[in-house]
Amino acid sequence: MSRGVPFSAVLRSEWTKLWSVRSTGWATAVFVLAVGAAGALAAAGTDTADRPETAVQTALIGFGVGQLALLVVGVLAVTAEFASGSAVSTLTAVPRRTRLLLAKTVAIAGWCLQLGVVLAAGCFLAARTLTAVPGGVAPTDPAVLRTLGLQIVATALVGVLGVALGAVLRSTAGAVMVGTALVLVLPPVLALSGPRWAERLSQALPMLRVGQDAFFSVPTSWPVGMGVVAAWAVGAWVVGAVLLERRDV
Amino acid sequence: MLSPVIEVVALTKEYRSRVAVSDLTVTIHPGRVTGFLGPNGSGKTTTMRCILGLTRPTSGTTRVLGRPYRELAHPMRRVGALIDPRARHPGRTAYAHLLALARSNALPAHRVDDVVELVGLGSVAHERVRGFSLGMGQRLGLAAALLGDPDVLLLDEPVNGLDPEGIRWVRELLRDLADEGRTVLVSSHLMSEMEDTADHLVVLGRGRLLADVPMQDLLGAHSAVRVRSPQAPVLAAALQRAGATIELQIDGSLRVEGLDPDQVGDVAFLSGVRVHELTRVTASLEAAYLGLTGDEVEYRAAVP
Repeated sequence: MSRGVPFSAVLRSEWTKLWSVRSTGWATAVFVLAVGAAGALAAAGTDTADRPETAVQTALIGFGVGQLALLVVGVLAVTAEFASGSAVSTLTAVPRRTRLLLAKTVAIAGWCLQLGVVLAAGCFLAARTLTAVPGGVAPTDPAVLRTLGLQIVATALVGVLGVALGAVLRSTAGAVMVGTALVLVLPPVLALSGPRWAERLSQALPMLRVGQDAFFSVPTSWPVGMGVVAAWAVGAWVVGAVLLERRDV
Repeated sequence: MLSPVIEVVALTKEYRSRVAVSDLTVTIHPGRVTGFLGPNGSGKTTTMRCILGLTRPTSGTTRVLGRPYRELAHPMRRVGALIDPRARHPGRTAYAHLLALARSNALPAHRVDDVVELVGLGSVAHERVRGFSLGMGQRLGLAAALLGDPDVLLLDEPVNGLDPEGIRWVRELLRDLADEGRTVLVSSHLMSEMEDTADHLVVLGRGRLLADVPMQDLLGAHSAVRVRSPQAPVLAAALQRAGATIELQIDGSLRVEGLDPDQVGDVAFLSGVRVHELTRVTASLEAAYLGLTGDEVEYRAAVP
């Protein structure tokens, strides 16, 4: 007998599931519209910028809120299984649960990456054509590339965080609420609340516009910011995988 | 006898407030339909979920084809399961639901078309399952179970919600699958559903094993002889001397347990008693089943 079902089969199954529910299409549309429109408006409203990466950062402004759509789809990939009862079919077909969660995560992260690349490219073009920068906004500028790259990776990680929170909490409302609080609400609230400890805590939350001081948050250097986001996504994912293995369906 | 395909050893599953399955040991063999019977709440579904690795036992082990279910290399090619007819996303089409399942086990996509036609859902395959009735849900669940053309089938209440034509179709399907040498375990809380289908019965009550018997034995154990005679008192006395248990029926006939019809006829002849009727009465399985489970019903309506 062969060694079993290849991982690619499970991944294809999860990709099929992702695209056979309406919510994925809606979330894609919302994300594209929100990020694209905000990027075009922000770039058009910014006549000049000192540095090319600043112009690009301004155009990427829509990612902050837009990523909530990706978070929701990541959460739903897991919670909808438990809410509808389809987890029984899924886990009978794929009884190796960590493998299943990994396939879900790769499918969601792949979808987020595609969207992130397309939208980041769009925002780059908006900044290049609509904002005047001394020397222009060149696609080969390392600072510009780093800004775009950070945003694209953070986009994939928010999907991973959604899947992870869904696996931990199993409740759509609970996971979306916790996720939104972590990435969007708490960082600026804590940063603005004043005390030194609140600022430090704010820096330790997964702020999705890594290395930038948008949304009144406390700025961190980009390696620290990326490390924090990745640690949250991976940490929550590991907890989710352990709980998925342990709990009854 | 062929070696067991499903082995349940000392299985116990406790929830916070109650014991769902208690020290259950049973084996299920191939080539026959095994009926898994018991009242509501007797632990049938919990046992099946433990076998499929969906529920973690408190203690004890379950094995399918010699290994824990979670370690099967191609789960859907080996085992087909129907646990819950609502186990699907309401926003997905029947076809997409089955396609996702097929892909997860690297089954060819044409299997989806095959099983959709087999269960009679061809006309609604591309509709979202939100609008499906319970019976259509059962058909979809059966389609999913049959996708991998599995050696073992575990079906929890598969005919629940089906129309009479659907029930007959499921019976014939299970019969055919068992005749092909596959292992079929099918649960029900209704004995009548099992009468024409099962070859072997495993009966649970309050999570414990009440019976693990061939269908014929259960029938034989509860069969009787009905005899009518104008000299009933004389015959009754003679039969009692021969060791039978006699019960006078409301129409004046005697219900005789403990002797077969030949013996009853012989006793009557030797006693010089005229006999007007002599019939074997096969106990309805329902009665046999109620006899077994009478004291083991978890939920019982109050008698006013």
